[in-house]
Amino acid sequence: MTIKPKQHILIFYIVLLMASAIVVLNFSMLVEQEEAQVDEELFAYVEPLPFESGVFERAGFALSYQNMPDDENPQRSLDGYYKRRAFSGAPPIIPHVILNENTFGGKACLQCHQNGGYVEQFKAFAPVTPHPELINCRQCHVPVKSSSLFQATAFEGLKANQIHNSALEGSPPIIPHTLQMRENCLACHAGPAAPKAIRVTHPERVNCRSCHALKPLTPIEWTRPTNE
Amino acid sequence: MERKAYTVKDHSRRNFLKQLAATSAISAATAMLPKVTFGGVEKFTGNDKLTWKKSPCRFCGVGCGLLIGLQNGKAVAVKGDPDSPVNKGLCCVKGYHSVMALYGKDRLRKPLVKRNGKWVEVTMTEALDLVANKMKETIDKHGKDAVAMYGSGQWTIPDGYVASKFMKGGIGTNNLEANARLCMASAVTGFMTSFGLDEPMGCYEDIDHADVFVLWGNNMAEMHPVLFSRLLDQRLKRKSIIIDLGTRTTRTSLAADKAILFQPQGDLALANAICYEIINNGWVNRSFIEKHCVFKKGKTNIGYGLEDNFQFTDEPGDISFNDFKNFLNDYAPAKASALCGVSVKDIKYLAQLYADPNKKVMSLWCMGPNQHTRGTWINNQIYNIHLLTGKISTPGNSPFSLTGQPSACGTVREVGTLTHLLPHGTVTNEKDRKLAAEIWKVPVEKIPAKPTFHTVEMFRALDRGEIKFMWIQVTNPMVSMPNLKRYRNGALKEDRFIVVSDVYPTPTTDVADVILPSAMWIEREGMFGNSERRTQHFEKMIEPQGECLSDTWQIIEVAKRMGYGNLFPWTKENHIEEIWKEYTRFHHGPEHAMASYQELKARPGIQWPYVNGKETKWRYHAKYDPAAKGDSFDFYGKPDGKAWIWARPFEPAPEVPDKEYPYWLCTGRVVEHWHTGSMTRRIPVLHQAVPHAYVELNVQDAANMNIRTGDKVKLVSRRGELVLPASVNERGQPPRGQVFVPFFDEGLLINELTIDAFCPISREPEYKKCAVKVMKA
Amino acid sequence: MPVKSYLVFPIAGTVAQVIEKLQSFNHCEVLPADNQEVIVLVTDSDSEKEDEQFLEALKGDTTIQHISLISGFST
Repeated sequence: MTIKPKQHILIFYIVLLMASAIVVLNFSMLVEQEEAQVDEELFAYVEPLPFESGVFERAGFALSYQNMPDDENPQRSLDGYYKRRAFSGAPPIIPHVILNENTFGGKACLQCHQNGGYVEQFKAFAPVTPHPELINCRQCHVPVKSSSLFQATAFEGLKANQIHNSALEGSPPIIPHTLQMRENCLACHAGPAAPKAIRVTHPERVNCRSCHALKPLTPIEWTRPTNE
Repeated sequence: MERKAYTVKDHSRRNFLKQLAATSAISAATAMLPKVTFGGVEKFTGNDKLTWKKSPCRFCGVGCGLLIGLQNGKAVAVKGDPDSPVNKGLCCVKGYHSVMALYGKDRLRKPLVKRNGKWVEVTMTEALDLVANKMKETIDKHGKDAVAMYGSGQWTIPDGYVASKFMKGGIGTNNLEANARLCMASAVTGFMTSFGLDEPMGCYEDIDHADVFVLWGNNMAEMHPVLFSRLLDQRLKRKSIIIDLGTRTTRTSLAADKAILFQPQGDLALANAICYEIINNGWVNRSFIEKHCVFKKGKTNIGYGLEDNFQFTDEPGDISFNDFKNFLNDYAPAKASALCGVSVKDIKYLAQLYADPNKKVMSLWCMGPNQHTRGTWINNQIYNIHLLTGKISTPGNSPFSLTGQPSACGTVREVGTLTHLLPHGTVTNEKDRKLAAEIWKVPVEKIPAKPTFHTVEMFRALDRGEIKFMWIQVTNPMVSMPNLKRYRNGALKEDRFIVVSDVYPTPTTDVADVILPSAMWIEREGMFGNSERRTQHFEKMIEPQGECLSDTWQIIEVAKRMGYGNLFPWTKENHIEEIWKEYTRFHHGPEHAMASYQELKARPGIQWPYVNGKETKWRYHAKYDPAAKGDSFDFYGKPDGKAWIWARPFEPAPEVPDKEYPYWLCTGRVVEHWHTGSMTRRIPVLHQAVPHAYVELNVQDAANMNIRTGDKVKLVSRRGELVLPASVNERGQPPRGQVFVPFFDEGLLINELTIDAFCPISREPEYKKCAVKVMKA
Repeated sequence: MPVKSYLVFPIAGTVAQVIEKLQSFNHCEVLPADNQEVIVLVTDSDSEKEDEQFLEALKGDTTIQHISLISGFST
């Protein structure tokens, strides 16, 4: 039963199988939808489009990003990036010691996290915040002072969406996360602090959302009226 | 230039392959066995079934709109609701991680009964039978005033409403209180004495108009961070300025344009000094005070409530503007400076800011002025400044009292779950009793006309034995009561019966005889009311765990067992909607009309008065408020339509540092933890950020005692002592002679040291000032 | 580091036992069908060697009637 699969053939086979799976899943989902109450639908949350402000915030750095040498070390991994968040979309914790407690926003965190750069003390590149206008940083980001828990938790957070999600081979991947407070793509997707897995290969094309579509929003049910 | 191509060897790619592998296996199985189904398939198929539903945040009184991500019947994520006018999409660290508080492994899921000193699991039916029987038995033996209910500003509006109907309309006792007495009572009496009606005239939108923000003893950067970020945003956009008045240097002081320190209790002198300057420089808005204000004085030397059965009634007396002006002569800047420790220059600066006709001023405060033995007074005094300058009830001119619990306003203040209140008005008012009796369909004699015990006195009565049975819901008094030891010992006395409804084990469930597991927040349907008169609905989004039951339904079940079922003729499916319909009958009319159930369900919060489909953002001004008569201001809460400016003097705190106890002790919160920490400490991110309480010391004091951060420090007050780690030159910095301790930690109970003195008018205790010894342990 | 998926058919009446056993292994996800006696098994081994050892263990199990490999990736 030991098999050395040839990936290409296998993937083709799997795509076929997936198609049949989609049909089956789709059917079962349709059955579920029939049971949905009209009341619920009426008040269902409709996801808004993200703000446009901040989209080009870091566009001025695009050329330096493009010419940036590809440093292997230090390098952040996507795994490490996810581990700092309690669930996909949660504000990340502060993984380092706080250099000065007695200062605020612009005089503290933003010194490194507004524009990034190498920090000798931590042997790391500082990630750039996508929302530098919010200066009460520790309203949302807190340090880790203890590794123990008060009580164990059974919470399982939302997992990050798949990042390799191009609709067609070679087509631009869609944006897998919400853009709320992260409208400024280049803050996280370019520069030495961006994990390589999500670092854009073409930072000079600053109008990101001209090619990368939004993650599918919650659809509103609509049927084309017939003539009858 | 060559493009960089990256190969990916990471976790998410493996997950993707696993999804593919699983999906193909499922397809193969389906091909072989056509009717086969796989239930756990979501594990592999990612986030496609994620839905988002709106709810107000479970924590503080700001009332941020959250969107809660739901997947496979569980809450898995949170984001700020961009449609909410409160937070406009931003949350704080507690809000973002709030849903994790639902899933602590030690959630109470089964009712527990203490038998022979041991906890025994019973069914919910058995537990409710026991509670009802015990309550009935106590009433038969000791009278109806021997049973009491103690709720919370975390009660949803329906919880509070059924509690009030059950206690006041069913049993017929006014033994109903809530922990909001410990945080908002002075704000209420401040509003009542100055304006005759509770709750702010303004709203959060004032932030978008004000030029100056003055924070009175309020570390907003940590306690109301989302609103503080709105302040910072306005400063960035419109160059507004932020003034921090406080007794220690906090994160807010660091962010403020100017931070001014005053001596504990000095706020009373400082506020009067500002009024003195305004009057003596001719900056009074003459036409405003002539048309819309009257001047009053009350009793002085009013005591501190330290003795049992303390009684006090204020007697307002008329005075003239000149009387008020003469009264203020004791607070000329030089004299006031000696009392409050603020320089004459800074007093004059503050007075100028308030008086500048080209500046709109917003004052914000919370526990500093409220948890104060002269809490009602300092609330009055802040209103005095705004009234003298006419800066009130218009956009950006706003004395604004903030709250600390999600429904302190919505439930405790509006539904009236305090001993003297009814859903509309007070028990002492016959008209209000008649209205309640009519809506509740009970004889009016049923509702007693005399208030019984306020919170501190209620726990004293439990200690003395006048109260034998107490049902505590959604709060943790065995961490939060001041002078804690006395009240814990009281609760533990023989022949006292304590029922606690909660979601986790706490020091309060430790003293219980029966523990009822409650359905928490989005595990049931409900409404909260926030600080700016905004009512917010949330639906039931997930199933309650184990046998957990909502607090509303727990009360209804017990009421039914005691023969009051006719008061609650609703089903489990419709009761929230029916309660809302019945409750809003109390608030008809333009002064307090509320939105319909359907509208609340559809929108992220609606402000009352809600008249003809329109929210009222500013009260007491005819331009904005449909209840206001005339063409400008109308303070219709008072019979003559005029607001009261009160002459309130400086009086010292009940316990002032002396030779034996030379330090001031102040208590409070940190941004990561909320209240007694029973929820936030079960959220790993928050617990790990601040895992325990500590004592903040002044740098110089610490150096003199050779204390460094992390060293053990012993604090001793006349009531108790506590050893805890020192924090020097960290987050907050008290001035010399003062220490600060957060109260969230049930392992380090600072309230064993605090004093149970209270404001004689509001009966709200003092948590911010008492005297302690400090030594290296 | 191979990722593979299998369909596992237990001997009638031993489904619960087999699920329990499979769940006790590291690096594998078990997804039983709701209404038939068949289990989807996804393995995510750290090395070829671990993968082989795992298969041997399954082959030796007497409560499993039949196993079929559906897909595999070597990464």
